[in-house]
Amino acid sequence: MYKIMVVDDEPDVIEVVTDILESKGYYVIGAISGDECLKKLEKEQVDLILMDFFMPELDGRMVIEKIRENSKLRDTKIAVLTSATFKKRGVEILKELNVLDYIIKPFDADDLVMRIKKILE
Amino acid sequence: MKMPQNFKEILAENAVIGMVIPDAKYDEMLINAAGNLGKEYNKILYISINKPYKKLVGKFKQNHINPDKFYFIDCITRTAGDVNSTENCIYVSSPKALDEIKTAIFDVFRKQEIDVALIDSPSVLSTYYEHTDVLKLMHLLMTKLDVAECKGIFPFQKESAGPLRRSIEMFTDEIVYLESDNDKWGFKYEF
Repeated sequence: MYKIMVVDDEPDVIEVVTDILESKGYYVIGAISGDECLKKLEKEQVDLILMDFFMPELDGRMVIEKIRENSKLRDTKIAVLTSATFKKRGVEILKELNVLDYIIKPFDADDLVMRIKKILE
Repeated sequence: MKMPQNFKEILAENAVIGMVIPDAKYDEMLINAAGNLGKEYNKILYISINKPYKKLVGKFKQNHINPDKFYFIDCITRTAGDVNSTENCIYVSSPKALDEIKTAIFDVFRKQEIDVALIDSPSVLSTYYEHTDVLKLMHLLMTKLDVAECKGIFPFQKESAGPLRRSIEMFTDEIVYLESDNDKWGFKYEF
């Protein structure tokens, strides 16, 4: 069973994404902040991280950079799931950070599942 | 890559740019940049977080920059006392009044045809707001610029802007450095 971590400062988003993904057979872990994400990753590895961008203290880019700097975690698959729209430079940075997909909220549940399946398989 | 010679050349290919300026020359080079924008565009929105409108206009005049080409949002003057908005300046009650700043930005775009917006400066906002609130405001401004088909410039202090610059970079098309060589100044792309 694939393990997915959803990182978002809005608990409602974590709950909705968890419901969608659990109904498709994925195991989901939530993290309410970038800090919590990094702490949880120290204890358990995941197959994919869905990362929000707008978060207090550590935003999505900062958290992804910390994951990429960590030799144990650097190969973890990451997709961004956010309400932010990035411009040309932002999209380049996501590519440089090896972010595999960029999903914009609000999202369509079927589309989300399809994109996650594509990343994992 | 060819070095850009002026804002129009850079902004022809990039709707929103981050502009990095050495701390020691920040105010001086930003005024120079405003002067160049004034030569190249008809109407510029200057959002000032911590410089009073009157002081800015004084600096503009000293540097032979026509202030009539600018529309100002002044977030600081009203903290020292009441003042009425003028034909080319909206006074916001305080840099802390985030909703008022947003409303002022919306008002300007509703009433004026703006070619370029310049915010002086995003990193000052982090004195007043949480990191994520600054990011959301800059994202809102970027979206507004897109809808209005207006160009945007986000200037940053090179040494002291901190992590905020890297985060706001996500909302830009390109980052350029302003470089000072004695009295001359110019652009350099970041690779």
